[in-house]
Amino acid sequence: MTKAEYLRRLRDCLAQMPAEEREVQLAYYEELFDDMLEDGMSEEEAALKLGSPESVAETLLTEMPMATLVRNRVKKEGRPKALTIALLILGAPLWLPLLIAFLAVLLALLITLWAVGLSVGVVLPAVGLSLLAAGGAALLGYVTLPLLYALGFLFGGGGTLILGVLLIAAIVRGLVLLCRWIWRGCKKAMLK
Amino acid sequence: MLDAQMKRGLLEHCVLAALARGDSYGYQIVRDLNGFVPMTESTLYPILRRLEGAGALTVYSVEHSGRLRKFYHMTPVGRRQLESFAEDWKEVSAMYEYIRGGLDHDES
Repeated sequence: MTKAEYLRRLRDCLAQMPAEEREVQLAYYEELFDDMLEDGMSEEEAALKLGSPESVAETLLTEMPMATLVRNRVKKEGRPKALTIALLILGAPLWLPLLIAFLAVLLALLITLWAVGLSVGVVLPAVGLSLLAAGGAALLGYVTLPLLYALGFLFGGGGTLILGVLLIAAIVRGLVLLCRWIWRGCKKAMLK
Repeated sequence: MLDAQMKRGLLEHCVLAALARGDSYGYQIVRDLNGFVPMTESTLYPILRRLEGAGALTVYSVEHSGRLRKFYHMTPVGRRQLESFAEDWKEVSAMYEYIRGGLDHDES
């Protein structure tokens, strides 16, 4: 194991320590390493003499007061979380109306989409029907009339069907994205 | 096997005794103690930190071939600690002689 690798592994093993303390310990081991190299040892030999980074870290961590370790862990994980919760509660007057406003906008958007869908659904059959009527008027008496009827229905009905499906797909997709966005936001707040 | 608490105290005073002979640095201390005391680089470090925390030694850096080397210096507090340890040990030593004598008596 090279010196750089040794120190890197030791650093990883000491992750629980307060950063300041960790740097002091690492400096000590780096000095020892350099002294051993100066003494004529190879990097490999020095690493062997010092013992594995894992066992060194264990010795150092056992020697550390429990209170320091716990305090550091709390500092690292708990405090930002506590802060987040405190901010969420204190900020409720701010974010709650915003959230409500946001949901209201969303609802309005959904209703609009439905309205558009509905009107398109009405307009297309109407176009179909007018086509039908025009065709009926123009081709009155001809045998092709039932065919025109069928075509009109096909266009009107098919159009409505396709539009409806697209609309529903868009709404579902939007909802999925929205949920994912909210979920990610929550997770980020928890992890920090 | 020595009681862990006792061993820790003994090792602490061995380090102080090494520094009583003059300021030194980590690797050198381990080398000096080698042969008398079971001490590795990793066991030395927490002891140095404890002694530093107790005010028994101070640390200073000296530049050595382009890098910093930390030297440890025994303070008057450390000296007193070492003296009182030696004083206390007289008592222990007397007990040891008695124990030793008992063993000799049993053998004969």
